[in-house]
Amino acid sequence: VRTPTDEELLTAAGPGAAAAFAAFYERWEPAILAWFVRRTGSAELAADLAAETFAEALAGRLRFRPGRGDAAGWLFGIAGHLLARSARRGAVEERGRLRLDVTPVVLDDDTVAAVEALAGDDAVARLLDALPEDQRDAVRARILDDATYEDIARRLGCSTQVVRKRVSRGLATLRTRLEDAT
Amino acid sequence: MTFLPTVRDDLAAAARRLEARRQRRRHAARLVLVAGASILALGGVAFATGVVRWPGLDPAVRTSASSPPPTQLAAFGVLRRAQTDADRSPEAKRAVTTFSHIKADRDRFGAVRLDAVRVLLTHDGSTYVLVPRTRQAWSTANHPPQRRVEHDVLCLVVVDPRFTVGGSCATTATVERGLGAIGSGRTFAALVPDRVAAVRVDTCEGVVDVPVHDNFVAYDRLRGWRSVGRQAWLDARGREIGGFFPTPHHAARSLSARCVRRGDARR
Repeated sequence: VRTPTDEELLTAAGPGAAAAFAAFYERWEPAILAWFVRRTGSAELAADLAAETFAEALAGRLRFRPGRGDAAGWLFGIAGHLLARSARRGAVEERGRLRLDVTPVVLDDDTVAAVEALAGDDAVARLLDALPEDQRDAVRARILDDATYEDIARRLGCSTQVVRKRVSRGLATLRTRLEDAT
Repeated sequence: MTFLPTVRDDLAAAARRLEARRQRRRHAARLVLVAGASILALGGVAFATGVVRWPGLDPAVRTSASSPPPTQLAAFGVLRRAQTDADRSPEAKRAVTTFSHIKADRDRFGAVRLDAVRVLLTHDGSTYVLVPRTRQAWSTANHPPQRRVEHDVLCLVVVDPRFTVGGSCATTATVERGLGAIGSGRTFAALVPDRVAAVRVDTCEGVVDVPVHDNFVAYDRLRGWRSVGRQAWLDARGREIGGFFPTPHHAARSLSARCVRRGDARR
């Protein structure tokens, strides 16, 4: 059975849409949590930010255009903007969660430890380092530095199509390895 | 492994709701398309777009240029007719200022869809105005402040001769359930969807059919008639198709009790 792509899960319609989004969530939750906890140093903040990121992704999923980038890049783009907005406001945004009636996140001690371990273990960074160099540079620039495809193409001296392909392949590899790791 | 299973489950439930809403909107959009084609065929005017701020409107009023959603346009013909000068009367300007001056109200209510404001009726010195808003937030014992938000509400506002205002808001679904009513003292006033042509009112004096105009019906419940019980919705062919809450059965029972208590004999 073929595993559905991120793009297929995110844009699924009809009766299977809820299950598809849940699968998309499960696929990317560890990476998003790790990304936030490494930037905020707090499991609680990371959990709130991750929940809001996925809520905004769900609310805006119809705006996602598969031809203009991959779903994971789009998701990390939301995460980056959300982190910047929340830092400016001094509080985590909650508009998406309120709109979708998402229960406020309460973490028990075990979950706090597990989320913090995501950062301490630096699993994402290690997995990123294990990628082929061209994919690693493209993913790092696109996801971690939030650079546009055009900027990355200029920096790496290749076309935007090539950058998109490298990011897409790199994220697919990361996802598979992250799923195996958790 | 999922670290935040409640978030996943809540989002999956939200995805289910959003998908269901999307399907309903698609269906409604098809209905509106049919309705719009009919209006154009008759040489009528479709819904105007682009808000022109009314002269003399209180600057505290937040306005939205967005059209009402397809479900509302499909359910309420009054929103499909063009706005007239009468819809921008001083009473209408007063009605749209409701919920605009107190901070708590401003937080609770979204912007007024100014192009969709309609004056429904002026009766006995009072004016009833339909004020569509983009949202309404609820705070209840079970929900922290602002937790429950209803989008695209229709507010029915009454402006009395002293220019004081009162009213309440409801979603299309709430109006469909017979809950789009306000009571201003002796007068009962309510919104009803297109399929309701009249309301059959059961009183101690007898049964009266009140016609619906502009998706709106109003009647005196204490002055002209001693009491009002059953309030059933009738379609254009006079068939009962629902009614205002409480349900007709319960209303009829309570009316009987009231009429007996008052010593009235039902004719």
